[in-house]
Amino acid sequence: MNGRKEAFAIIIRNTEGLVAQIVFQMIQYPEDRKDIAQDIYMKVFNNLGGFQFKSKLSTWIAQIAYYTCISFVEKKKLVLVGNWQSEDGNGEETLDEMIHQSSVNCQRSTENLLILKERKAIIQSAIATLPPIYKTLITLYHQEDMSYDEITQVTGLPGGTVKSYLFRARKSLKDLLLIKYQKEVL
Amino acid sequence: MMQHLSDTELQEWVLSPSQSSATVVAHISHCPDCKSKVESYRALFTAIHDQPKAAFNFDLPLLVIPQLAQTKPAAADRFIAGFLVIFVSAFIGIPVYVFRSYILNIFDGIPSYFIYVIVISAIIILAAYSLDIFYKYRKQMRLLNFHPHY
Repeated sequence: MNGRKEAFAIIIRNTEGLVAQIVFQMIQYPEDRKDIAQDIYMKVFNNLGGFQFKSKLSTWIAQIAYYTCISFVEKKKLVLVGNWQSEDGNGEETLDEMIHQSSVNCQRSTENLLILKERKAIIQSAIATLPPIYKTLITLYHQEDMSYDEITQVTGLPGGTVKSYLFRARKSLKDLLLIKYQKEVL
Repeated sequence: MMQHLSDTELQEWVLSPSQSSATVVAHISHCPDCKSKVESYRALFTAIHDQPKAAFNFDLPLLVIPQLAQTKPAAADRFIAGFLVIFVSAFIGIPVYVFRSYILNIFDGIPSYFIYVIVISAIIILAAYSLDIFYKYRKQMRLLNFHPHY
């Protein structure tokens, strides 16, 4: 049993960074993250026998992390993607509203941003305005260097939806930063 | 009036230029507006990539490992494995021992070259099977390799 515990501790050490990236983007409140992180690894341990080597172990654990977060967010009735899901041509209109809303939000915290005056903080602030799933996809693709296929495995979303969400999220971030900060940031 | 590229095309160009069409490449090289947007996207992607990564501010293994004690009875697993080994050995070994004289008689009438063929075939099958297990094991070990960044 001790050997098994030690082996599992190694698995946790090697994957908690990726899990943290997902949990931080999906879960807003820090006090919830601790419970969710424990819940994720308890599920991983109890289902290790079911790992069928169809993907990387880290991808499988990331999938468990993502679904645990989704389940938590849905229980709390929080918005995952909001109106951005619409694919009937209203997406751009909703996006504009979102950008406008984000600009308003940013104006409220302009003082803080001006004090910080750091590009990283500004970008971080802009990313924070995105809905949880968009933030997660952006993080997995651009920070974790995951391919579209890997993100599809983790999220269970169709490949086309992953690409579409990512394109919208990037455009939103670019427009938001250009509107608010012109070219100073980008 | 010149038709500008869509944001989708611009993003694709920044992310994987080799997959963009010649039309896109030609347009970007001549259009200052689209070139400017490309630069904005490039800067944005670099900035996102360079963002500090999220990390838990608590020791996760220290929280999780103590909770595992009651979840899997390892002693029971070992007992089942031992029982299975003994059972399979007895299931094969006892009939072989009891009927050993009959089994040896089977081979009496068979020409020696035929026995060689059987033995060589068995070795080849066993080798192929072992290689298959080895390749499967290597593939599984590759999949167990953690995310390259961790």
